[in-house]
Amino acid sequence: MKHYILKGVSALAISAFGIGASADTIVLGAAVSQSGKYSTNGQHTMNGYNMAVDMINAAGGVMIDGTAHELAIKYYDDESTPARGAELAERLISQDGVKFLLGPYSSGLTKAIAPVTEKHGVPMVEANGASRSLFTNGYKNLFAVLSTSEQYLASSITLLDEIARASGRDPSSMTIAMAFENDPFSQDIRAGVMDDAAKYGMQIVIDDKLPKDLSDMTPTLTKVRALKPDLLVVSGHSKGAATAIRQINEQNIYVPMLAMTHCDSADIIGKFGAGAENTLCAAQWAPTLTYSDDLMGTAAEFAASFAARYDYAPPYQAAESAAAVMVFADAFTRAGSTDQAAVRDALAATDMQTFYGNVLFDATGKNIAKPMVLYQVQGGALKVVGPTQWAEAEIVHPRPQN
Amino acid sequence: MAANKGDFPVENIRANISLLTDYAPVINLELIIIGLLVGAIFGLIAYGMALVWGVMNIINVAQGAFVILGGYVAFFFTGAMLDLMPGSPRILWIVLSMIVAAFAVGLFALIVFRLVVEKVLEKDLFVSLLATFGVELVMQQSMNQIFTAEERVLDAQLQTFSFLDHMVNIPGSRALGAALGVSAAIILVIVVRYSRFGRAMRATAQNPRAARIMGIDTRQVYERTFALNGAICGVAGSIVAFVYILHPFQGLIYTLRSFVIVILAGVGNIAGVIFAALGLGIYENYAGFVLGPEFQNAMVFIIVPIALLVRSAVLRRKRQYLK
Repeated sequence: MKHYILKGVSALAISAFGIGASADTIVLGAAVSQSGKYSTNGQHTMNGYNMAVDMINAAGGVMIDGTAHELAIKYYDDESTPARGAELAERLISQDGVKFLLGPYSSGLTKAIAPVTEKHGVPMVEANGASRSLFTNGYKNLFAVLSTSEQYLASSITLLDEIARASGRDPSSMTIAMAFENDPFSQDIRAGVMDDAAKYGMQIVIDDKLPKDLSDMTPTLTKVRALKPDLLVVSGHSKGAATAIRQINEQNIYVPMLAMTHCDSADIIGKFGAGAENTLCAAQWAPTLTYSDDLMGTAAEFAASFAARYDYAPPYQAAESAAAVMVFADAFTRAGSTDQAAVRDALAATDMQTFYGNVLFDATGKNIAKPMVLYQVQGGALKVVGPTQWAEAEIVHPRPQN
Repeated sequence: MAANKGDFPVENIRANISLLTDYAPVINLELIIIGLLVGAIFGLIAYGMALVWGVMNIINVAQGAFVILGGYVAFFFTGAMLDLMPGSPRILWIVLSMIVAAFAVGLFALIVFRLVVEKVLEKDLFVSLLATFGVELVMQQSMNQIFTAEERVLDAQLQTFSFLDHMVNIPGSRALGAALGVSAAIILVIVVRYSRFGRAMRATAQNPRAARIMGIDTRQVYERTFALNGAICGVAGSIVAFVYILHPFQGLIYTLRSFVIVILAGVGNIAGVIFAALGLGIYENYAGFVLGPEFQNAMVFIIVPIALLVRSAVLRRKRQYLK
């Protein structure tokens, strides 16, 4: 453990004085939240970045045109505020002379930084901005390794369709209740659910927007009790997940199927124990998936070495952040130089498998090769139940009524 | 039925109303009861704000941060006690944690008073607004650093009471929260009305200069009032911990809600606070149900100018004016 801490410190030291420290060091810049409301997830992001950088350097660095280059990261704290993030991106590029950027945490921060990197022609690989509105502006230098927000809960609708058919019911007779926070990210997830529901002709009986400073969703749940939908989908970051589980149990709300996002970051299992049972949770990645690469090994091996290094199991935010660094390293090698335009073109042509999933960017820069997975809380653990290809357990449906 | 983004969801509203009137009128009962329970908790917080406002002429913007701090104290106290004595009754520690939180936040408020609030006493309202807003910001960031941004919940593990064929459900945690809130408020009313300190407090509120002439140490009254408000917030916070969710940045909503309640009751009308809070709780629940949760807060704030207009019209008929 100590060894790793020292290593981490030396990596930080390199990053702090890294500019021009060695001709063979490539410095990646990153404004990540170390204070403010995203500080927890910002830490996951930095841990993922640092681990990938150290592993790549330990394995001999990045080969560019026959010479090995070390990677280093220069961090700033964006204080979880978009304006600060944009300011720091400008500073990284204009003052510190950083030529490549890693993304910040959250869609909001990414949205603030993307115009800056675009203006300067600085390629940015990001791992924590999933809002689909990031990819509708024609940005040429923005690449995202994660699945975009409209895919988050769409798989639960597909699952509902499968269940309806299996039980001999018409999918169009299925009813859905939705409660999404009123922010761009959650509303994107809502749009994805609406599209898929329309595809199967399912009926949306509740469509509530939860306020940002949400602490109570009683009125929505009262409606759920009266209308008895077949599926309730909730998304409102970790606060929404925790509030929903607490109040669904406290108010004796029963739905046969309950799907939500942010179960793991809200730690609903640790907080509510049996109260979280049978909830479906969307995730970008799971350690049980069968992806692998030469550097990190399989998804499970990555999880084990991450846990050994940081003393906690990697949330998907850390995994996708590590993958972003690997995508950069791969692009440097293929570009054969550190010229920004060449690296950008190499990034656009990325087609690789990492422990995190396949990476293949479409013209807008989003990764189209990796689906979302759907967990279910079973016996106090998260088990992948969808897509069927990776399912490690069968879905419990309908949720037993207590 | 679902409306497009940006549209006012008229269809939804119509459906929600018909749900209340035709489909399941029994829901009304649940909305009213839950509203009352919510109102009781907010009422307690607003009560503290009304005290500080009425006696010291200070609007304590840090009220919500005090509440959240109390919640964290209760959360960690209960957790530590359950670790220390596994198998001991959880409810005992939850109730005790209220007292611990009351003392802890009361003491903290005392320190805040000596460091900050004392300096802005009897100054312009704007100065104290800024000062307490500063306290709020510092507290938010410090709590974020110390307790991290992770959401915390205290699980009271209480039963939910179901009535009328499971259509009306009252969570035990909320009932307990409201009961504790109401009892704390009753104790406060008695203290303010009958104790020596309460009399000194009311005298200072009416006219600080006259109170000083009559031998009341007004500085001490201010200090104790502010500390008492801290203790109230501590109690409220410990309730919030097992009814809602703790997050370092969640405090402002409690400040704003209590502000609205105090305005509705009328500054100086301490007894009116609890009725305003209960009324607002029901109103808010209906607004959330009928218009959708995204309009819930807006509907709470819209009521402030309406209440002020109505009150000023009533006063004008008596040839008085709104202070």
